[in-house]
Amino acid sequence: MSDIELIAQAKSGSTEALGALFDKNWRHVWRAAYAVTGSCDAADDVAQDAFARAIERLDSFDDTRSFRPWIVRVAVNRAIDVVRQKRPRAQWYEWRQPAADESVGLILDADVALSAAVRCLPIDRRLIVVLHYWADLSVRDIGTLLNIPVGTVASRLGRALRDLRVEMEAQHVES
Amino acid sequence: MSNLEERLRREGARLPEPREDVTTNARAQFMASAQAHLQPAVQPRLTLRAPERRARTLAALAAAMAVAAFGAGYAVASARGEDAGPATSRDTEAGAVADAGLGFLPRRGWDSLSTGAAVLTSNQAPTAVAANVRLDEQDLARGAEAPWETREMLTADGILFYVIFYPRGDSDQVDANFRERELPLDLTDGHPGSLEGDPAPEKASLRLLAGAHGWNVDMLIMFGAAEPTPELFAEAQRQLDRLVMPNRE
Repeated sequence: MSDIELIAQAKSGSTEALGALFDKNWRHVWRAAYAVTGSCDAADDVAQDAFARAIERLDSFDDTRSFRPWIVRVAVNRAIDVVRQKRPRAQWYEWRQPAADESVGLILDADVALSAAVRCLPIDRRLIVVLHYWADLSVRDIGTLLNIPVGTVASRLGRALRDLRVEMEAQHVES
Repeated sequence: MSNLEERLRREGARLPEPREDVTTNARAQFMASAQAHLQPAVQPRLTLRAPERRARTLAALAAAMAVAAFGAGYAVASARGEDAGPATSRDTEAGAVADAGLGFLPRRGWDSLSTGAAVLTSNQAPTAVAANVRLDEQDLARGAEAPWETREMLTADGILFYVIFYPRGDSDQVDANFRERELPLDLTDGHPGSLEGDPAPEKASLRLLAGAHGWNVDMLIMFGAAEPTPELFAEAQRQLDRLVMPNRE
């Protein structure tokens, strides 16, 4: 059953349809959130928040739109907020910054360095790299998400790749 | 595609997967939240008109003044037992400053616990707990901490509230996370979520953040069921209606 059909049934009160919507999309939403935040804890929260917002807006959701791109955009927007806001540490409400071992733990080979280099990029460039290469968003979609011209996305992406090449070459020389 | 871009794509394919327990918990909470949203007709609280809400607020505030008479640093109110019997309270900290106007009003069938506002320091925030089951003795002894023992034993029809009250106004950035709301708070403003250390993440829980009366309220509403019924939500809302706090503004 398509997402559009599931949405229609969910609007009619079908909890089975809602469950199916969750099952089809949770993993994609979570991975997009992780790609941006680099933290499992933050991805857990962001993805849950995205689904909570989906429920809030379900009644007004346009049945002709695809659900997955929409909810992924909701999650990515929230994840960007999390990364940008760098909320003050507080015992009751805290977005943990990714610990070094969390990043390293993902990688199984020499690309540890590449992953680390991505995370060291300035945030505007890092966001574009992870959204494009890790969350599989097009340059056009990224422009819409970040509210910047497509040309700006492309130029930032180009600069980010240049920075990464320089960083990787430097590390290669040092090793 | 350059070698660098290929490597970046490979990194993307290696992103971790969400943990199974997180997924299970998120699904349960999503379903619980969905039920609350899609079936408002069975939640009497949600159908109240504005004048009724105001009347209810006034009643709650009036009752809050009565509660102050209980007084205690840790006030445990148990309103179980006799039908018309008044709520009782017992002190667990001798000489504590009387200040019980922060927390849940006593209600038959519910246990409630409040540290009172007097404990407020730079290192400690007041808390309140309420449950439609007996609060676990260890949780009672720990007072201000999250009632995880009760949470763990919560049965399918169980409801448990844990509320932390932070003073509003210390930081605009923090306050921004706590949208200003009126009392009584509304359960449907909550989002699926819990706190670190939750021993039963497979059971449903909602997180409700609100700014009211000069406080930032961080509330966890926990259910014993993975997918609570509309009746349980309605019951939780009735308890939420009984949350009171002194005005710091």
